[in-house]
Amino acid sequence: MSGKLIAVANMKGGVGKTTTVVMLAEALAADGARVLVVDLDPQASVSVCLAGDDLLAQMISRGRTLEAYLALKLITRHKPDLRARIQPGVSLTTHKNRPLELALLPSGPHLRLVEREILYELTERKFSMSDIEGRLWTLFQDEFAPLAQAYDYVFFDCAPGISPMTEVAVRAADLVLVTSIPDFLSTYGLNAFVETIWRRSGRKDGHIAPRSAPHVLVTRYQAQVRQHQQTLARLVAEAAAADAGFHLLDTRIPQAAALADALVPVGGAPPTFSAKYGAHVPNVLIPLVAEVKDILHGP
Amino acid sequence: MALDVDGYAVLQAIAAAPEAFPDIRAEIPKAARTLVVRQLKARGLKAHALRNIRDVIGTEAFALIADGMTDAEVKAVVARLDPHHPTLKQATPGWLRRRLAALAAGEAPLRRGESAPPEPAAPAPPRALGSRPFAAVWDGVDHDAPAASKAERKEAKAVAKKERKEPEKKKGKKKE
Repeated sequence: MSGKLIAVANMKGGVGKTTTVVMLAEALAADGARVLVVDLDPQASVSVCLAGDDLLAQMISRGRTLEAYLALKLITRHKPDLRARIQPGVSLTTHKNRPLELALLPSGPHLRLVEREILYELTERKFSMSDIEGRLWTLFQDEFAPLAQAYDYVFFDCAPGISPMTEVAVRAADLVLVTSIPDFLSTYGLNAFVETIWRRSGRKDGHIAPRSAPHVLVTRYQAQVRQHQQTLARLVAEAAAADAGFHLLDTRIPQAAALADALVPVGGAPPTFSAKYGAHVPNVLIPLVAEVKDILHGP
Repeated sequence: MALDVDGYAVLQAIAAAPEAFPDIRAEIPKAARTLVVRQLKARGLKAHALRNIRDVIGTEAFALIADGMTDAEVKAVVARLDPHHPTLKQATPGWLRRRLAALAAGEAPLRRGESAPPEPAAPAPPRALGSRPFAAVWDGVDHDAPAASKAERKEAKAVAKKERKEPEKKKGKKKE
């Protein structure tokens, strides 16, 4: 059976996308799943968090990154092997005395330039924008989607904004988790994202309609902050409407130092999963994993 | 005739045959947590009993259960077990959780008047750009073997399928 593709995305930056990818990927791995994380963000945040400086530098210099793969495939027209760029056993976190089964396809800081070069290159070859989107869609379906055969879950940590690869991943994913802080500006960012990808696209515009409706995950929630309470109430009201623009997950990711710390690679002894996430395991991660599994596999 | 159920026997029976209790599967971890937390909160709990609990249920399960306790619960347990620790009065929730883990791992509670071992001095912070993974440069060469073509992949799949089937055939022949 093929695994599930999960895109974690939002046009807005700083809304907890990477934190969500790391903690959800580690929680699913602790639950016994085989998990791959694909970094689509040129900031390479999830690559740094999972691989650490030394391994990431080594992978960048050997061309074992998404950007190198895309450059070889679409610009110089070689036949690079995507699977060779996946680093297995990347997690330092242990659970039940074993490292979590987590693999990483990293990106590097030049991904943004490579994506731009691809646009130049394909335009030079007389590709229209629609052809370029089609080329990336085919590439995704031929090379990225089949990765799910070897994993139970494949996460795509999307770049803020909508890069070409991010857009393809969002349209092809079995689940799109849109992380959003319940504050004034983040809600406008959420609105822009839903309008752009879900409401103004479809076959008639030459776009491929997304497979999954957006599922909003509230992040960095501070229950005592009035603006958060009010915005959360608006999100709940929207999700309950008949023509809702998104589904809303019941689990809230709180603003917590422990979750921010969970992103920092550690030196010395590898941390255990339970020590790393502390009280958030029973209160946040277990219900979140259950909710995500319900969405993907049914209750 | 027993006056009450033998709780241990029932729990043991449930654990031995979980398939007979499919609808309470989600309740089992909650019940297990409740029982252990109640024991940890018992007034008579001593440090050696805490260590014993951790040894019996295992390090991982103990950590998960302790993580699920509220800050107030953790504080109450640590204050009861290690009442003379000088840090106790201004302890943060994080410190209390670490102390509970340390006591469970075998550290002895401090006696009255005894001072805690000094915390090691914090090392100087490393430079912000001391480590530069993004300074790594790719030479533009594909250092890995090229990907197999679709036809090659199909052929490899067929060979693998054939190889899987052959031992089965041989097995079948042997049985005959």
